[in-house]
Amino acid sequence: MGFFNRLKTTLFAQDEVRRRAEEEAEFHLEMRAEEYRKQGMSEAEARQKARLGYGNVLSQQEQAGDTDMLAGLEGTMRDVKVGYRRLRRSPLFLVSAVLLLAVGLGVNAAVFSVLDTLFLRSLPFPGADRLVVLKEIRQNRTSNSNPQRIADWRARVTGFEVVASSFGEAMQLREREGNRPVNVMRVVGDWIALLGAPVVEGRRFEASEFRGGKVAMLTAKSRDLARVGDTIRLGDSSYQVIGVLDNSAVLGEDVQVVTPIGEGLLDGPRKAGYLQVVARLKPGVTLASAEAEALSVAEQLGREYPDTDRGTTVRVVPAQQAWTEEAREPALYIQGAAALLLLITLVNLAGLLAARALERKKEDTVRLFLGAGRWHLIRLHLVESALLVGFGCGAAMLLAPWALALLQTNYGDDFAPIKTAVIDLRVFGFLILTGVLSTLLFASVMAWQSSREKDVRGQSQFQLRNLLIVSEAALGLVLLAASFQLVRDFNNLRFAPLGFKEQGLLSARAYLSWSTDNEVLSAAIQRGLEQTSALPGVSAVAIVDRLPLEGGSQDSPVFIQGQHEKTPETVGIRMASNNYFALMGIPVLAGQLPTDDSSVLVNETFAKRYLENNAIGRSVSTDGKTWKRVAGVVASVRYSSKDANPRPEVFYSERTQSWPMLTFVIQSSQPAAALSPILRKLWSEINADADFKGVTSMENRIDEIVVQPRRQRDVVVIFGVVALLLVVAGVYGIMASDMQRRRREMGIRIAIGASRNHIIGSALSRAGWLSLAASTIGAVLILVLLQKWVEPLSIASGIAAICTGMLLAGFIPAWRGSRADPMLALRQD
Amino acid sequence: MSTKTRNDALSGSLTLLVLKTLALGEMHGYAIASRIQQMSSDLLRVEEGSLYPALHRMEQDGWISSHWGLTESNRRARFYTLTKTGQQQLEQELESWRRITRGVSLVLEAV
Repeated sequence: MGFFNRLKTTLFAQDEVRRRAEEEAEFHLEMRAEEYRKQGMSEAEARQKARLGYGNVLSQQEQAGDTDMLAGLEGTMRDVKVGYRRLRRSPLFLVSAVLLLAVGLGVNAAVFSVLDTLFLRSLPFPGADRLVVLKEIRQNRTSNSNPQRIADWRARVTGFEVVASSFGEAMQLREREGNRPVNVMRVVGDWIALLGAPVVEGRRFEASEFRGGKVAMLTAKSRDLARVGDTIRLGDSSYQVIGVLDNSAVLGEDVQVVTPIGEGLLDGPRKAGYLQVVARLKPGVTLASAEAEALSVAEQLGREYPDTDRGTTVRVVPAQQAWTEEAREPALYIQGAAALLLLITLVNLAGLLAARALERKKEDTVRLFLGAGRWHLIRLHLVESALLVGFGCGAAMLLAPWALALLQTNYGDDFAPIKTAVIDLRVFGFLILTGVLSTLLFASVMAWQSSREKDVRGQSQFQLRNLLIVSEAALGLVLLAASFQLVRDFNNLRFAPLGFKEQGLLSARAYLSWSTDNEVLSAAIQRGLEQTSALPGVSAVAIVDRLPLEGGSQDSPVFIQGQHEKTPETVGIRMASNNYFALMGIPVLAGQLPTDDSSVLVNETFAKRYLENNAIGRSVSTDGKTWKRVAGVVASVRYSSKDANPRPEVFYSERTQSWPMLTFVIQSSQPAAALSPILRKLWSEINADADFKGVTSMENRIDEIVVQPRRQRDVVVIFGVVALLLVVAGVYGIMASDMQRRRREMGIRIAIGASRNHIIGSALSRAGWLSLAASTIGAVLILVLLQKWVEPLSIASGIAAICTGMLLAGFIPAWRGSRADPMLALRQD
Repeated sequence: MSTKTRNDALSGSLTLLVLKTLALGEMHGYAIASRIQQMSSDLLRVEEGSLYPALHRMEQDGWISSHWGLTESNRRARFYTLTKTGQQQLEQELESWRRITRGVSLVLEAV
């Protein structure tokens, strides 16, 4: 009976018990006071004596609560209430702490969900661990494959169960109302079986259809385009829709239609390189054994096809690793910045909590005196920290989807799988784990701080907080220096003299199908050039494969006449019309522009590296058979935004080079917006399958090209600025609370003649010492973590920013402290 | 039913005193304290701070029951009554008290 009564009380009647205890105490005290009054005491005396005899009302109420069986749990609940009350008493602190945590944890949760999707979670396919990518390596560079070689890997490497590949193509879906641009995935081999992607409706491609079959499957997200059984027209060909494919089959890319590769490409040249070789290992076959087998096959192929395959080696890597390789560097930046930000947030909060713990020392001493155990105090700190972190985690969960959406818009185009990242239980688990660690950090800081014995000079209390400030500022410096470096890198990339002009130029792009015949392509280029230049307001039109910094053109080693071996590295094989260089302001440094199709241009880098700076009249060749004479040397321009320096390049005439992704450079008095619809119409007449990308000003186009480094810069710079603000706020908070505590000391010092300047000076010198220590530690951290990348100037800028911030944050409370009226300060208890 | 034999003289004696007092009839906390004081000719003074928690504990154990009522002076107060279990408990506690005091006095007299 006692057991159940207690259980009942514990569960339901705590308030009831307390109310009852209060009422009984009140009654008792009144009766006792009345008795004392009858003995002749005054009202006040009687009351006081009654109260003294009764003891501590509060502790009795608490004891009344203690009569239940779950005393421990009840105790914790009480701690939670006390902790909550304590937090609520300083709403400003509560709100700012929760906001801080929400930002720190929310951003990290979003970043974690992206990293989880990219690197930690296995690919969304059955038996994904057996999916591998075979990398062909020639001249020490990974290069892409072609259908012929893929057929060889499939036939000869017995460790592979399936070998397949795919590539994307922008096409026009012909509908009654007009053309609709669609992204088509062309598959080589049994791509669907390779991934094990489910077929949602209908059937998948049969072996007989792998070779140019006029059949198509829709991805599930685009199944509304047509019904299974319908015939659709893509470009000039008709395809029968045979099924609907799960979205996973297109690896997160924006693809609507999947068809087998065309027959023409399947039999294309062996030197072509545009496919990634993806394979599924047979069960039990290891990466190493598959790689060894593929290596010996590569040697056979080298003997059989010396022109194209000699010297090819291979590496077999897990598909997940291969597919996320490009994301690794940006991910590292973001992850590093986010982690630093979280650390700074935590250290900052720890500092604020330490200051709070100090302010509450008196309260804690009273608790100790009244019989609370030291462990109980620690438990209070733990509960309070956990409450704070709990609120923070909750807010972070609200913020995380928003931060994730931001990352997805910024990086989703570059790394498609990011689009599938979600805030799920794993992210929640990550938050909980981080939260528990933060709680422990906070609680130990508070406990350590409040358990320190009283030190009149406050010396030992300083130590912990100094340590916190210094570590926070040092971490902040790392982020700031990285931000400054990224800004400098980006300015070098975008604004330093790039070797070409952008002003007054427009860029228009028309992407034709990869299967376009050479004659058709050539005719389309000529028509495009002629008809565009005939437009009103257009004074010049040039064509080039890719704009500067854009990258993504072709490269290959080349033969140089008189030398036996090809160049040891690949050089850019570019296409540009003669007038491209004059329009872009790229000077011809030697020789002249080619006058016929048997001549080419090389850039200065090529001339210096391979032709002893004596290029004119020498001959180069990509295959060792057709030779082209070097007519002139043009200035070097950076080819890709990823390159630090220009690479060697050879420019062929647009008449001899078949490259279907056309970029026109236009000089026009008409604005881009006016030209765009005219050119769009023009291109739909020139080639029905052309994917016209519109007209933009050259500045905007170059901005688009460097958008990824810009985003990288922006994210890290935002983190850097937030870090600086956190450091300033942290220093201010701690210095201000110190000043508050030391008002009496300040009062005495002023009273016995210390000048106000002296007071300010001593506080500033503390801030100075702290920022000096932070700068040193931060600089060492940078040298260890980011040695190669961050330049001294960026470190110096970071140090300047952080020191200024810290001194400013130290000055304000010091100045206020020095204004203290000594009499007022001394009169305080 | 738990019938603990407490050797903790202090808390044991308070329980015993309360049970014994309540054996006289229903009364409120203040009256219990006053009655004990009065019966012991002011020798024993109940520590008021521990009276109410003890009452509550005893009620949870089912030895006493309580209800709100009005005093002679028309004041709201909580009245406590001994239950049947409490009656038995009182006997047991009395027995144990006697045992202890007998033991103690034997020891004291032997010296």
